[in-house]
Amino acid sequence: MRIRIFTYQLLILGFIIVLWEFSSKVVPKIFLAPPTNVFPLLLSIWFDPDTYPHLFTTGFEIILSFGLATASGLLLGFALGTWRLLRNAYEPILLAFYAVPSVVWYPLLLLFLGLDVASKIAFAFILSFFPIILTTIQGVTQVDKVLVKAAYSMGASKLTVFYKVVLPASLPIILSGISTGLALCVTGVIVGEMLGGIRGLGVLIASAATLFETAHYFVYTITVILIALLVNYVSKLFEHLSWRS
Amino acid sequence: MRKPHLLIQAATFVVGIALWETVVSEGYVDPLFLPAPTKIFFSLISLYPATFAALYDTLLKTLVSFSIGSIAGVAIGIVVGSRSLLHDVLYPYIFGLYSIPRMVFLPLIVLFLGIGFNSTIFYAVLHTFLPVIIVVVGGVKNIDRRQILYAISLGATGRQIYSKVIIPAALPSILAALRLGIIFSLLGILIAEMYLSISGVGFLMQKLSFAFRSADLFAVTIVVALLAIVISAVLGEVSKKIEERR
Repeated sequence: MRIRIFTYQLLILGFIIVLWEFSSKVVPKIFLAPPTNVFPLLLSIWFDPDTYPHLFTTGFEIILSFGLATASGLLLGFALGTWRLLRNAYEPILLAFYAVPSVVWYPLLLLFLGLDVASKIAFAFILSFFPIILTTIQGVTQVDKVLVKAAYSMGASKLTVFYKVVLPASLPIILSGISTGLALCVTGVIVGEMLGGIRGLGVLIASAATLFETAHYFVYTITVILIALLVNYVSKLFEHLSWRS
Repeated sequence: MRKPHLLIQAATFVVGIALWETVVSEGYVDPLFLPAPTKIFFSLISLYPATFAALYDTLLKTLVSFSIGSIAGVAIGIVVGSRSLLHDVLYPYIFGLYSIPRMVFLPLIVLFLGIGFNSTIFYAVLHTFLPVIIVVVGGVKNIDRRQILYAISLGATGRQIYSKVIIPAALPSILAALRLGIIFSLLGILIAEMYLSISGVGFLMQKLSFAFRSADLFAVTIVVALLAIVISAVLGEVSKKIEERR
């Protein structure tokens, strides 16, 4: 059964590539670059040192914004999760902000922080902060109260209860929020770069498209897709590990 | 005090605004970038004249792309969720597409459909129907298998299984998907408008940003954000009512 599914999946992928090759023979060159052009170009661009500053910028933006969002989201999430009064006050506000289409904030950030990396980092931070803090709150509040009471009655200190009961019991939910946050972080950086920037893969995509360098556009797009899929795969792996333990 | 959290909310709001006003009026930040709340308030009252036409344009496009994207998404989600071979084969592709930044496809869409209404709608439909599919598939997969088996053993036809068992049982997740879908639709339209810069409130915001009209930009941002919050709250209430009825 597994092999059958895998075969079908490969067939779909093969069909897409063949369709892509044939349709690029039919339509004008600026619309589609055939895979037989794109893949050789892919290798030459990947090994071109001129690409590295762009890759580095995008990677730096992703890592910094994700780190900031995770640190602050976890910290504030645990605070709100354990402190009921604060949670009642601020959780509705956070949920309301989360319902706003995130790109609304981007022109403001562009105005405050300029075209360089700062605006992308701030935008990706906003995107990934909300799922992380909201799932942390949810994770902490769904911990079984009986477990917490039992630990206290056996003489555990507040710190011990946090490390030995609350944290392990809420970890799977929190990790799912972090993995959503990471995916949104990648999206935020790319969207930010495409809407206006100086360096980065998103800037390369937008400028290749504007210049009708379709083969280059495909190469950069495939690179971003591969990065996003890799990031997604790694974070799902972590999530599965936490469920098992 | 019966509801202390409301007091905290109000206090946060007041202190935040007051702090902001002082920081700007004392000259710690350049008002060109961060306008004082009072200035934003005046911009809100006398809203930038093009805002209403732009909002109307954006909401119309959102409605069109939401209708196409959510109908397609719910239909595909129900089919993919209920056929296990189809699910196992297609779901990795759907989830893969969902997890990559979809904006990378926008330039290609523009190449094929040109700058304008068509490419904006196409992009927003793409933006809408993937999350809708994911949520609906999750809901259909979660249905108790026994319910379907009972229906089959009682002689239900294929069509009845869908209309009497699967769709009613998956209704909460379909409603959740629609709620998510409208926000994703609006998000897609705004992104496309900002990127294509031809019309709508996304374009207006981008323009105000590049023209350094920060108070006007703040006012428009607040209006759009409030609109999204209201839409999502209203849909939340409506779906709660529908679920209570059952």
